Amino acid sequence: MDRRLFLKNLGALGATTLAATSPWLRTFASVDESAGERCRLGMIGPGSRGRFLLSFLAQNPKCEIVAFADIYQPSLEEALAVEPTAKTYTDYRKLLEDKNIDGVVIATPLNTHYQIAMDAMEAGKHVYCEKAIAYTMEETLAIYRKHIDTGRIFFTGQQRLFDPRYIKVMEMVHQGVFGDINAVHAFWNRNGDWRREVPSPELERLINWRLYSESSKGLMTELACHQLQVGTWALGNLPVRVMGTGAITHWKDGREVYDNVHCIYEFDDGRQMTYASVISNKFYGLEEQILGNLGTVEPERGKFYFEDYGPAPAPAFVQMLMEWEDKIWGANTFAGSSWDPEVARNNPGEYILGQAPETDGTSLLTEAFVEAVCTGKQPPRIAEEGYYATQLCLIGHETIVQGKPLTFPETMHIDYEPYKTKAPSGSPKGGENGRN
Amino acid sequence: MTTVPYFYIPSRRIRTELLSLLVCFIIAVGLNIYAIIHYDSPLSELWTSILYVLEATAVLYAVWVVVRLLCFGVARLFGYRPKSQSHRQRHHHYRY
Repeated sequence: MDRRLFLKNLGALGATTLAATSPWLRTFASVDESAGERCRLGMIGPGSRGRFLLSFLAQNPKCEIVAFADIYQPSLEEALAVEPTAKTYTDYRKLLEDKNIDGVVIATPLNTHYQIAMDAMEAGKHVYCEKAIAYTMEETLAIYRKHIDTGRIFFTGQQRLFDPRYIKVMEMVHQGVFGDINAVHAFWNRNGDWRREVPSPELERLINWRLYSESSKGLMTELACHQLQVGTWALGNLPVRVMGTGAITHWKDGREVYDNVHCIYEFDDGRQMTYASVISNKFYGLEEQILGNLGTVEPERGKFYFEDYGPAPAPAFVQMLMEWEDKIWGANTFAGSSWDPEVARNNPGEYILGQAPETDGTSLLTEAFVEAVCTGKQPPRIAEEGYYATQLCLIGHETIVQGKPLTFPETMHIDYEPYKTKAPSGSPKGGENGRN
Repeated sequence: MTTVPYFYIPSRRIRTELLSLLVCFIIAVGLNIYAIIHYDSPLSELWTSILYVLEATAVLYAVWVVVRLLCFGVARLFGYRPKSQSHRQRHHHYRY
């Protein structure tokens, strides 16, 4: 999706509204200023996700992919099929030594993000890092601080921030169209073993890194990271406490990460966000159900639903007669059941953008990164939203491992005005974006 | 000599019954107003629910008729005779 179609999809939302609710879109305000500029990027880890990002970057006229680094030769060869003139490295540090490279895209296994991102920013490169940002909460904080200290652009793979249906519906959520949002139910269900084909047994842990605890935290870091960010975006706040459980209940194939997780995130005002992921049943798929007292949003489906949908209420006179009837017969045990099964209503809802969703925000996210690298301006809130999304999925995993509720540690907070969080004294300070 | 119809309803009875019907209608309208306020419904239901109100009027009137018939029946069981004249007696009076 290009920017023109994107803005068309946003419809009536004016530039001022967008700037207030989704300020990271200001990145596109300088598109004309940076016309003719071109940035040079390197990609570290052109595996399946990396090549997906490459498919957008390769089409961007403001961007040139000049190098790839990977320890797995087939990935390098597939990347070269897209950008035949790019250099290839088996050691990312060699790529970072190239002074002509402005920024890097990191799409490697989770446990390697920290060292690569730190080295990249130290080497003066702007960084786009796939989510989750890092393997531990401490590493995530260190990467964020490095971004603040060095002033390098830092993007994370939270593409929903650039998805028109999310931007539009969040505007409606924050305007109160759906009433008070009291809960978010997020889930991602699949029916599959999550395995990649391995050409040789010694490559099992390298290729199926998502399944092993030394390199991944499984469903929480690979899937929840997207959806928890949507929940905090809708609720406009951060949870203070987390509890959850997880287990390997179906795919007992030697994996070390859970295939069945359930977490509850509790906010300081009592509101709740739940997260569940089960990969042995795909009936309900994935969704972030944003539950307001006037309506519900299902952004993955691209729809919203109002509570008052359905046949008009009976005339008051009839309601009164029915109430009298209930009073007279309701207590009579021979009058039938005294409850109705409250199954979900068959409400067709309305499409947020007037039609079924066609794409997610990945193309615009990569375009925004290129634009930010060209202009050298970090868009507001991008790094911070990614930071807290990662911290929430990591603390969710931690509560499952420890088997007890955990409070979000004060030491892990950063200065971030939208969620009214403050970094502990002595930490890097900032304004709206948590930067100096 | 004029023929006396078998089903003759004197005008006094008609007035009484019409008055009863009016009272039933007023009660039904009153109930509708109460329901509109109670269920926070639009005022337009004052006339859009008029059929329900008319049905309720008929039901109330029917109940009132049944109640009176029951009372009359019970009274007759104990030998009570109404003071008013019978239809034929009244008709006879009208002949003069």
